[in-house]
Amino acid sequence: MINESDFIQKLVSPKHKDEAFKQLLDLYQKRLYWHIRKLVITHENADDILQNTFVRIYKSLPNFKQKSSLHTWMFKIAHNESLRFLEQQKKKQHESLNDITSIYMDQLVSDTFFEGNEIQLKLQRILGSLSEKQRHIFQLKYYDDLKFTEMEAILGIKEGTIKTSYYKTVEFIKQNINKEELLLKTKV
Amino acid sequence: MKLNKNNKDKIHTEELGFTIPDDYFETSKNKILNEISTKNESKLKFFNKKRVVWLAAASIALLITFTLFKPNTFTILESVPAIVSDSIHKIKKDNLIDEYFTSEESILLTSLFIDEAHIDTYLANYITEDILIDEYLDNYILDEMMNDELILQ
Repeated sequence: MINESDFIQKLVSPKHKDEAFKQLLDLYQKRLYWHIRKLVITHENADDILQNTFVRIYKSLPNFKQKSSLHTWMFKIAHNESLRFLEQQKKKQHESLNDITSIYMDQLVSDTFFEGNEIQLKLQRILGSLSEKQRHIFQLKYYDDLKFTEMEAILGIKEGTIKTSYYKTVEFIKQNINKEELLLKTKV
Repeated sequence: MKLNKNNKDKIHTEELGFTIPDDYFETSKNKILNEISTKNESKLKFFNKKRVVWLAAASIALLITFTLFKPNTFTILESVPAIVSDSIHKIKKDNLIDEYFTSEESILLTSLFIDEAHIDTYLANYITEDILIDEYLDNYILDEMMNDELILQ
């Protein structure tokens, strides 16, 4: 088990930082990639943002005040980088953030890096139909397995509100997926 | 489809249908490390560039300082060789300034007591004019000689 404070010390020490950063990449690269991918949907976008995220992490490490855990801090950077990207796309295409996500969802079918079946596509569409906040809360909890307190730090929303939103979203998805499964069975 | 957390490693591909290129994470890791080392290098290059700029600026500043504030222009009587200062004292003491003004050889010495503006006027009115006249005469004589030469030929 790595002691976080010691690890952070290594990350900022001129002697050990390169080796420690490689370790950090091994530990967090996948987790951050999947978090980003769910927000920006396509692999190409996620790849660019992941790179920007780690460059930002590397540059910001000397200023990391350890007010939150390294894990939460890194997720926050990845989350903000993804939102910044979506904001830029929104401005370019004169669309709202939700509409941008819907556009990416529509492009999923033709995406080389999407091999989902009809149910998976349906789940993606359900997630796309949620409000931005609801979707982020659900994804951070369900897929990224973050604690509610960590989500509070990342999203800047109160823990109670996050919990309520999460459980409501889970119910909503369950109902819709069941309906879809029923529809598919009827067709067969 | 089950909304539970079993088999978490494959959840993104199995539940969301997302895939990634083969060896993506290894390639991405190298890309990130390269990007970081490039940033470090460019940061160093920028720092070196900045240092060169600062050195150049400092050199220019020194050059301007020495050009504007020539230490020679502040020469005081005490720093002048003894033989010269003695002569100046003697001239002042014996009230020989007028005599020296008439002497052509002592023009440099007398110029010490004349205002810069007066020297400029003198140079413009007499010396420059004399030089121009001499030059004109030289050219005139040379032309005449060439004309004579052409006639003879």
